[in-house]
Amino acid sequence: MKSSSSSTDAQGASIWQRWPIAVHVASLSAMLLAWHATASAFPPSLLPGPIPVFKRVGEIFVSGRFAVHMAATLLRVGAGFFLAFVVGIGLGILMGVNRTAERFFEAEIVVGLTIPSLAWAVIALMWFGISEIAPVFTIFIVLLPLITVNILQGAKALDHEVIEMAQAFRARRAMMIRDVVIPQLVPYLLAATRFGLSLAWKVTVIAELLGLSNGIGYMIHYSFGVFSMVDVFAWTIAFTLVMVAFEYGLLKPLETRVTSWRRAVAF
Amino acid sequence: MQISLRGIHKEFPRQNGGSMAVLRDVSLTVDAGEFCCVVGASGCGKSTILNILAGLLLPDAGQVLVDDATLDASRLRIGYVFQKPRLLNWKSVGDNVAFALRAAGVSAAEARARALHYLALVRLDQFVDEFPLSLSGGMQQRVAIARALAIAPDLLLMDEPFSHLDEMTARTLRAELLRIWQQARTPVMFVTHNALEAVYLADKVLILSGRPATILKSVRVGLPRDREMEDPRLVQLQREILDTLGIAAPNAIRH
Repeated sequence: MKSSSSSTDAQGASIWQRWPIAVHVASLSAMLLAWHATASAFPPSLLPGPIPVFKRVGEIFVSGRFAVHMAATLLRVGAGFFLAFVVGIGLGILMGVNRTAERFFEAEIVVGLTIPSLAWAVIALMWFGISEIAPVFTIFIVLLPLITVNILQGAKALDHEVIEMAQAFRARRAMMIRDVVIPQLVPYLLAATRFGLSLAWKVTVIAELLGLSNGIGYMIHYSFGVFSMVDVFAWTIAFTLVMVAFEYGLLKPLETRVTSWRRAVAF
Repeated sequence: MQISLRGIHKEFPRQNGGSMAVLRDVSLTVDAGEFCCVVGASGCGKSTILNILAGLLLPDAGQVLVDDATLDASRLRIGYVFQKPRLLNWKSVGDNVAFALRAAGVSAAEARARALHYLALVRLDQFVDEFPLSLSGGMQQRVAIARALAIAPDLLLMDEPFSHLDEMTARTLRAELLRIWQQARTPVMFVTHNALEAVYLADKVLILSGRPATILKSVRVGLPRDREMEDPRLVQLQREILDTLGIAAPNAIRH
């Protein structure tokens, strides 16, 4: 008979298995404690602790400054990502179904994948000046080859048997694309969205840092310029919190809903 | 409606150049209300015949005829049941059947109703909102059969639909197929490598040679419906078919 002080319940599952969220909380707490401990050994101008940083996070949220800059960054990311997504899907599918197209664009994709995003950010500023076009273009051009490659793999992995079935039942192009092809591409679309967005944020911050006058990247650079490490940390963390909320509040539920058919229940 | 193939030739390109003749001068007829089986060894071109009838492949020579008039095969309304269910796993069972109906031009509301009706025929109406991956292989194949029948096709094509199932499930599904088929009596072209299954199901059995395939013989199964797989008359017919295909009886080898 198990003693009541053990950490396993009657079925033998540990607390950590029954409450996965406890593991996340424990991990975050450990990080914060480690941060706090390390920070106390350094001056705040180098490594501020979590308490002053989170206090500042609260301030920038409440004052509305965060909303202003977040909106600016968000719009740039949204526009650039959307363009890259649309063009990337079209190009990826084209290359997936047409061998000549694949061979033709392969060179551009390889080149596109290797040029550093910083180089593109600088080029975009030179071409388009200090405007909204520069960051949007940068995001677009950096993301495009990645999204294309991702969708291309999805297109190549299409189940031809199911396509043949739809042809036998005389499904027209619209039905074929909507009901047969797109659902098969969804996992690839989700993956492209995830890393596309995460890359887009990073690229935007770089572009803003270089030559814009608002946005999260701009604020991080500005804080660095006035030697306020607390602000550097605060803006970064505030931004990260929004990203995490987006991932867990939007992407993960969407993914669950869209892939629910995969979970087989034995009848 | 009588559907025929006349003088069909079909070649496929080989990997290293040149071509391989798969079908050579294939002529056959499926009469109205007839259940026709094509028997032959695996890989001899049985599926190619079905794909030509379905309009998915164009023959290199020969014609597809409906009531003796040449027809572009893609104009026939085809119900196709494949070896594997080939369901859309991301759609519910009901939506899978409705998919074929929508493709055939049926309205969404009527498609839903007809889907339910045909699922009830295969005794799967309870599962209308479930997803294919929750179902067993036999159940998925029944959905595929419901899907093919729901569109009231001019011709039902079946490509060894029970060969991937265990024998018990296959037996049940054969009987169920016949039960449902007898209500509508759609012309059927059923391809199989199992000669006994062929004589159990068919009004007429066409024996296909090896590659390049041609019809060796047509055997009429004159027995009434309500057949038993173990019926000695069926076993005798099976033996005839195997003899035509050159497959000796195990006991005969000893002489």
